[in-house]
Amino acid sequence: MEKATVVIIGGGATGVGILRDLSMRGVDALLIEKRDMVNGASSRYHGLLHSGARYAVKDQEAAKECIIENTILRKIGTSCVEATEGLFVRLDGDDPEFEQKWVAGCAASGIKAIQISPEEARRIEPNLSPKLVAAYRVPDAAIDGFRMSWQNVASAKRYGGRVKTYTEAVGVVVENGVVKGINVRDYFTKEEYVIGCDMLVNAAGPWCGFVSELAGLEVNVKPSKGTLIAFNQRIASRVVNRLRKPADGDIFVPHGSITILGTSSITIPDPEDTSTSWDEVENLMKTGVQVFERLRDYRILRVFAGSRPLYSASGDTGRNASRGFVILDHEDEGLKGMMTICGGKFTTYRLMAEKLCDKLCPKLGNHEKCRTAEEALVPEVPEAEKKAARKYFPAFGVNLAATRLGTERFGNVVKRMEEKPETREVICECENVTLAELEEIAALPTSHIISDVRRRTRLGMGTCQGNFCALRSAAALSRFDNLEASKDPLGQMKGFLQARWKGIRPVMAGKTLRETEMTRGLYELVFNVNGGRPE
Amino acid sequence: MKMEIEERARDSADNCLACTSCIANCPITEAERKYKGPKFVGPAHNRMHFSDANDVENTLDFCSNCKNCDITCPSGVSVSTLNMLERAKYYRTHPHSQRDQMLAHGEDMAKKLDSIPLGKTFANLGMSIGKAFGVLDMMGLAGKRDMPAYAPKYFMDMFKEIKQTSYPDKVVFFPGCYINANDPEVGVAFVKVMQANHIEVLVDENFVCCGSPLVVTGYLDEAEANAHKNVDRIKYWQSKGYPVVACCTSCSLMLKQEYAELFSQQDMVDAAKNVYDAFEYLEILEEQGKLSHDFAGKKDKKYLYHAPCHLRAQAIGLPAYKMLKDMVGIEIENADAGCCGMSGNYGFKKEKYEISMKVGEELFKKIKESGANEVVCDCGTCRMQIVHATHAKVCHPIQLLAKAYKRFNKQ
Amino acid sequence: MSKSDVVVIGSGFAGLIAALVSAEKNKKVTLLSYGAGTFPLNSGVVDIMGYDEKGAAVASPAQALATVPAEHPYKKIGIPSVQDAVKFFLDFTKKEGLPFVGSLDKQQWIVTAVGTMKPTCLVPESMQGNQCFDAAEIVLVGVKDLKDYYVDLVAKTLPDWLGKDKKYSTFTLDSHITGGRDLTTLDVARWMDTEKGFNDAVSQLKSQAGSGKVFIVPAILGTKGNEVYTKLVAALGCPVVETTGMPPSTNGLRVRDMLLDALRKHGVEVVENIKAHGSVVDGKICKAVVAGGEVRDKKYEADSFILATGGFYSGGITMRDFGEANEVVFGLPVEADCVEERWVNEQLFSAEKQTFAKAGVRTDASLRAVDEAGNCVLENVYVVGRNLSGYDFCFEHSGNGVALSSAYKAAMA
Repeated sequence: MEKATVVIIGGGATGVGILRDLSMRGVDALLIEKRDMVNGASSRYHGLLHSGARYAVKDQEAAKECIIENTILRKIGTSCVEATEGLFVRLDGDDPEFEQKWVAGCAASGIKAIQISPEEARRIEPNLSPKLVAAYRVPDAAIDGFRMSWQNVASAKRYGGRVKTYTEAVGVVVENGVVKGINVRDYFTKEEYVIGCDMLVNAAGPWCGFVSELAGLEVNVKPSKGTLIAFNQRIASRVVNRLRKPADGDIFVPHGSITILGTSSITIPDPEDTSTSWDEVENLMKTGVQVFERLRDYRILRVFAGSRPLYSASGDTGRNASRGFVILDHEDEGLKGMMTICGGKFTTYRLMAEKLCDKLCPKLGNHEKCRTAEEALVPEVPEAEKKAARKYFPAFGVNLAATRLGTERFGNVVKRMEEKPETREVICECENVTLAELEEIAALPTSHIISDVRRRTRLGMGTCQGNFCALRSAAALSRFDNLEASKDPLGQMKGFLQARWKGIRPVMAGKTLRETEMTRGLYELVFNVNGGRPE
Repeated sequence: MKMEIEERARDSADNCLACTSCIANCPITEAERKYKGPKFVGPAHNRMHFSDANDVENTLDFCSNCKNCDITCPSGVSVSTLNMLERAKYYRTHPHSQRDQMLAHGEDMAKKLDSIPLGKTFANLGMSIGKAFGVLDMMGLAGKRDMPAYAPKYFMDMFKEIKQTSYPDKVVFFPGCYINANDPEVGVAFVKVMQANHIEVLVDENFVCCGSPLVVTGYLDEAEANAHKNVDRIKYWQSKGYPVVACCTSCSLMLKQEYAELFSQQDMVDAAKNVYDAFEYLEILEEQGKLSHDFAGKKDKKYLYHAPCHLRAQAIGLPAYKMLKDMVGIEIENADAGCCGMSGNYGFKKEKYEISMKVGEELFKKIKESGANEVVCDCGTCRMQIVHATHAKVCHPIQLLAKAYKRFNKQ
Repeated sequence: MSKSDVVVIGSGFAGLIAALVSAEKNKKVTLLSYGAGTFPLNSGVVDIMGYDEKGAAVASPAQALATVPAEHPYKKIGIPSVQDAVKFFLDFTKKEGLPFVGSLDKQQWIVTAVGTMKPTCLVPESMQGNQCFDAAEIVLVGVKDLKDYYVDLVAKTLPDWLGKDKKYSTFTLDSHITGGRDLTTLDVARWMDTEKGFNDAVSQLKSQAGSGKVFIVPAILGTKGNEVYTKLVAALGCPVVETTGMPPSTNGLRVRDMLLDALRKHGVEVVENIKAHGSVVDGKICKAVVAGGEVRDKKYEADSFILATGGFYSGGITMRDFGEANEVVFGLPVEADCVEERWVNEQLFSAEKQTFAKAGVRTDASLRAVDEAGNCVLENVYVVGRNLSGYDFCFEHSGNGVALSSAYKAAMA
């Protein structure tokens, strides 16, 4: 029987943070995730590394936590963080009193907020509305949730941590009120088996409730859906926040070549519901257009939604480790060997993991201290190595590849490009992904479908939304036996585009319409992937 | 696409769907294997700067700014302008070659030579000797070409000696560097045609080089300074109600369109409304019923018209060709053979010479097969290329039109 | 000098056909063109009707035409015009060195770049996929380092369409093109245009030729006319079938060049890079179209106007905000069922037509726009091609067919 000391359920930021922390403390840990890693809230938010300024008025404890973690995450995950800095902007008509409270709140929380003139703000961000009356610079940053989560996994692996994707928890094995193991099902083979463990950590985010039910427990987590819009350009080079009482649609975050506008908050019964409606989109647009007046002319790439795990204590069952997230030790309810951690925000994932591990490890007789804030997640690819590799990469491709791949894989990719020049071919021209990189990621045991590869390489996530690389990648990946693409490349190609379609459907107007017409013209017409055979 | 002032060339990159129209129609891409095609350089890299402040696309230098990509783009992306902006970015941190310095600053050179006694004569002599001895090659210039000779008298000086009849209707002529220093007869023909139509031509000593050779060699800041100077003057004439008219289609494109695309300033957009291509202006006169039709009889000559790419980008069709064929009744055919390959100073660069000649192959073939007596073209550098490749006789359509008028008809 | 008989707006397939047919009727034609349209994406074959309302493959386009729903453009165009347009096109292409073959009575099937087959009606000789059905052996030709055509993908997919009882072999052609940018089908097509390239290809492919064999090649058979195709077939002694391709589409560009060359020979005035965005109207008669570039507009006067500006992709119809669709030149009423539940299907590759694809201008049987009451809006303005409402050309495989026949009918009016 497969065994681990600790099994962590949930491959989001919380789960991988715990995996890393436990592994670094010498605890044998295995993380299981029902689909691909980082497919829940951790990849479906605006990617803001909070300075904490958003909480400066209402929740200064949370604000302080944010600024501390912000500083730590920048240090340990330099290749995941774009140090864009942020602006808080007040428009004519927004409450000036709030501005005063906010300034005071930032000071009290230790967040550096530097005032600049509206003219200066519009000089550094020319697209900002002329109705701007006040502006402040804050240490916000943009963070790549995927990448940081995968880097946590890479770091954990160095310390013996393990991950199994497409492995879903379907039951908890309990004997005499003690957790003995977890019953899981493989998504592809449908095989069910047991993994033995001493401790079970439920880090399933908005699915916490479902997982706890498997153990006969009740965890009151309310999934709250947040919708986000991805624009095709860097509208601003900095995070832009609205300086007023927090509401929907008041944050713009640049991510590489795109900008994300978010977000909203709707309670939903099912965390799988990542649908979005025209109303939700319009809700964000009508606020966003006040900050960037030409917003409606900009091309929307897609919309997406994630569900936040909002925990509401029914009574006083949880011992709150800190505001915003909660750690539940189910031993208090008579089930030994299971803990749930729920809530929180990406910016504080590391702190959440630290608090949970501080509680969990002593139970295993492990008294190691947390070192996750001290050590970099992954070593950076040395400049000299990148410089030497430039000749194989397309322009503006080497840095992107290095940050996506990390040192070991980057080295493999460069070697492949040296030995097989045909792998220098650029498969995804919008995001500069070469065949060499694609082959490297495709060979990983965690890669099963094209979308898994897409998530690791950003294939198809750029301007053409897969119009060109869907074909190329389906063909290139059909040569890998571990991928579904090898059995049904056409189906995979369609699936890839269908996955993109989900995010495009709710915004089928303006420039986005044009791109869909092109997709259909190519795939339905020129390649006829949808039509049937002659009778 | 009509551009609002905020919609810079950079913003137009948002429209790019990667449809490959520009790549398929780019003459350089067809002629040169190394060039990745316009879409990769301008629109794509414009989005990718965030990833690497120092990286450079090594095929950046191939774009000739011929505008064929802009003409074929169905999405309204200012592809060639984005390419030029990328090039300018490169040269902010890399030095220019002496060769580029020379090619970009033709106006300065022309002025200097004019101020030295016999300067132009010696320069012309020097250039032919230089060619013979391979000196041009060594300097990085295309040694097989003849460098454009300086005219004994520049247009701006010749103009002073033209006795015009004064009329209430006036236009201000923008000669541009090539007509001024190398081909002043074109300017003289323009004055003739205007006079035949009861219009007085003014000139403005304060005009400077339109900036086209500066833009394509990556001296963007200097081009912007020139733009401001020219725009100030154009607006001055605008306030007086006098249009600014250019015979050189690269100049008119720069003044009408590229300034606003590159530099996105409101006054450039305003000034553009006062600039006309010469035949565009003549066509307007014709619409207003003001154009003189006092032509001499038909000649026995056959002409072939070559449309400069920079004219095709102006969205005014081919007014010179149309006018000469339909109105004047000249026997003239449209070569319709794409780009001649010269594109400003591009073809003068040693390493671009072969590409330049390959691009123009179809045109050269058509010229040889057409049996035409003379090739007519509104662009000075196109004319140079045509002469170099085919030894055909060339002229600017305004010269043909001048000759067509009875009063100037010597035959 | 500035007034024409016909002003055609748009230089896609519909626009170029409308200009051509008008010119052949000795009309003075001005064509206003903005961008190269969809030719780089278009396979350049003429689909009349590939799939019917239920998505079933059509065996006889002529029969399918008789059963289109009332709102479909073919109903307005009428079968006689479709027949005439097809005849016109076949005759024209024969004259111009890129002869198309096909008939309204029988659907043809061509091979696509991913190894599926696609129904269509009129094809250039090089793309006659039907020749594969009787072959004993299919030789799938790939090209070394070609980025946009994967012969192993084709090899996996095609047997599902042609039958697994055939023999399939693959062969990799080496273009010997090295260095520089990634290789695309257009690069290889240009290589095949050259004598050296053609002979090189033949010398390699000859070894694979044999009786009962059919060669399937990517879209590399030259960029102009059908000379490369006919020479290759003669040299190999075997049928050769060219597939559709990734953009830029070689055959799409051939068709565009052929049409533009013909327009030039007729003396059609083609104004490039110009966007039409307004009109001068007197009652129900349009006097002129207002069009221009960056700086100024001009009025293009004519007796009749043919609007071939395309749909959302080409910008003939825009909808910046949901529910507000606009026809950009004349402001014609646009039918667009902008109801959230219906506008887009859940599946991208759907079993039903997409509502957004059917958005367009509703016309009468003369192809003139009508308002909600059914009254003609402008009597001398004809709407042709994608901007017509009531059909989903990607689902049906009917795009160039509607373009061809509507443009023909409008030009003959």
